Amino acid sequence: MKIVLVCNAGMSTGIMKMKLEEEAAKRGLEASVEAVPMVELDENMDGTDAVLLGPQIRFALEDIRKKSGGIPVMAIAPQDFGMMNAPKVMEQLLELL
Amino acid sequence: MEKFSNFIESKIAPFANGVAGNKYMRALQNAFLALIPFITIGSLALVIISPPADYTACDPGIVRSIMFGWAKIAEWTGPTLGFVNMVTMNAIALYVAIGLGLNLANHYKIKPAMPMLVTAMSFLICATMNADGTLTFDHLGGTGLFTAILVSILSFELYRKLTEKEVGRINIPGGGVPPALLDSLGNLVPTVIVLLLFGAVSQILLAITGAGLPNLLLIIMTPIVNAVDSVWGIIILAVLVMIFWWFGIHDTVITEPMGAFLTTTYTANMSAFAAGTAAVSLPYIVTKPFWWHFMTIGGSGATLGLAVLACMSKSKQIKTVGRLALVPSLFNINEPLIFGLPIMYNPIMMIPFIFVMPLNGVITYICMSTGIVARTFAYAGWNMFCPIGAWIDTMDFKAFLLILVLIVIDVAIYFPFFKLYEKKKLEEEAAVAKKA
Repeated sequence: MKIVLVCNAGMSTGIMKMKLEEEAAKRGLEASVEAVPMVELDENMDGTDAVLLGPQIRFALEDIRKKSGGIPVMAIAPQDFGMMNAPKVMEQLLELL
Repeated sequence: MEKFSNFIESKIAPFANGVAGNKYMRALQNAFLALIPFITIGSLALVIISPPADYTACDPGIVRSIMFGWAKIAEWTGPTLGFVNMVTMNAIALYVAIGLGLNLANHYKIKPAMPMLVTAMSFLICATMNADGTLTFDHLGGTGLFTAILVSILSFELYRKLTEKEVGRINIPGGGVPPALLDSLGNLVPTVIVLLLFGAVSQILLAITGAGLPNLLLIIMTPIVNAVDSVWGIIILAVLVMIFWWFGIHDTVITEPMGAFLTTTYTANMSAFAAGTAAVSLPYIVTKPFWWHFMTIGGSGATLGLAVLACMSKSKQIKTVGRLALVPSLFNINEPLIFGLPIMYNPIMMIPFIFVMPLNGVITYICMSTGIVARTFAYAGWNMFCPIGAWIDTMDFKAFLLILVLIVIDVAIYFPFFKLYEKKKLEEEAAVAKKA
């Protein structure tokens, strides 16, 4: 499973990336997580199973959804992102898939 | 509150999306993204060959020895590093033109080789011609930035329209022609039209006004650049940025367009410094490094001190966020604080959050305009720990000290509001504990 995390520069989502990878390993899931800047999202869509947005760019949700060709796209809730609550984010993600 | 946040989500968010999603903005952002390593290399090269003090003026001792050694290294590496600085920074507008051609082509899913060359050459035509027929390379750097953006977008769009309509499309019968050749040879006529048109426009402008497009655009843009490079410019921009962040929306809508201006002022300072101007009397105060190292200490809202306060909190939630936020804050990333503390939609934290960053800007502006602290001519990148970053940007140790003072002031302003919020959180946590 390939998850792509997007924020403006791919920096703050870098922390979430590590937490999500840990969480996936805990659940025994084979998942790769990439943190990318929004402008580079298009180049990273190949083979992607889900796109997660940092709350700071939640305004782009509909646009990305339109371009994603049916792949689940979700904006991470501000509180979950701030607390880097990877278990909850993973749960919501698995529900989407 | 809910009504209010609904209003924001339905009005402000689409606006942010419109600007951030704009194809030209994205192409420009992408072009600059690729240039970050080169800008860093170019500015560090300049730092290495610029000893902060003249050793002959130092008292004998360790400082004099260090400055002497530095001067020798500068002398030895000067020709090479000076050249590195020159090709990275003094041709930055040309690279932006190439990057815009590439990224706009990618946006339209057309092969980038031709559009990149078309935008680069159109820019060169407009930027290097003198009225007397000689060539100038003065506008390939920062002063040509506005020209590069304008000409690249126009030339790309014209080229795209012409090729889409297959104007003068040369079809080579047979099919034995390699596809790459088909693209370049097939679009010969559109390419000629674009280049000739920009050449003609450039010639006409030169004939009428005596100045090329870069000079004319600079004249038009100067009032805006000067408005940004002022106390009121800082206050208005910083307050806007902080309002966006208080809504939890990324500041890219403001900082991206602002970036073109801050890059112009920054490269102007760098050229002036490389030409021998003293760091205290460089032409501009408000530059890219000014914004990201002197104002944004610890992330938007200057929250570095707040992260430390949060780490020491008695509230379980605040402490958890503080620990998460501390290390990223050193590198000016503060999303954990904004979304976790949270600061977003938090009425108690709103006042210091919006107030602190403009204040940092105003204090720094005063220090730089009076010559107490040197102005910026290098840029260590926005992820650099701010005290060190500010030091490198100015090669002035007083900049390092200024950042420490600003951090203390920022903490003092955050402190009462933080305590108030902490008290509220502790009461909430106590109430939950009682129930359980």
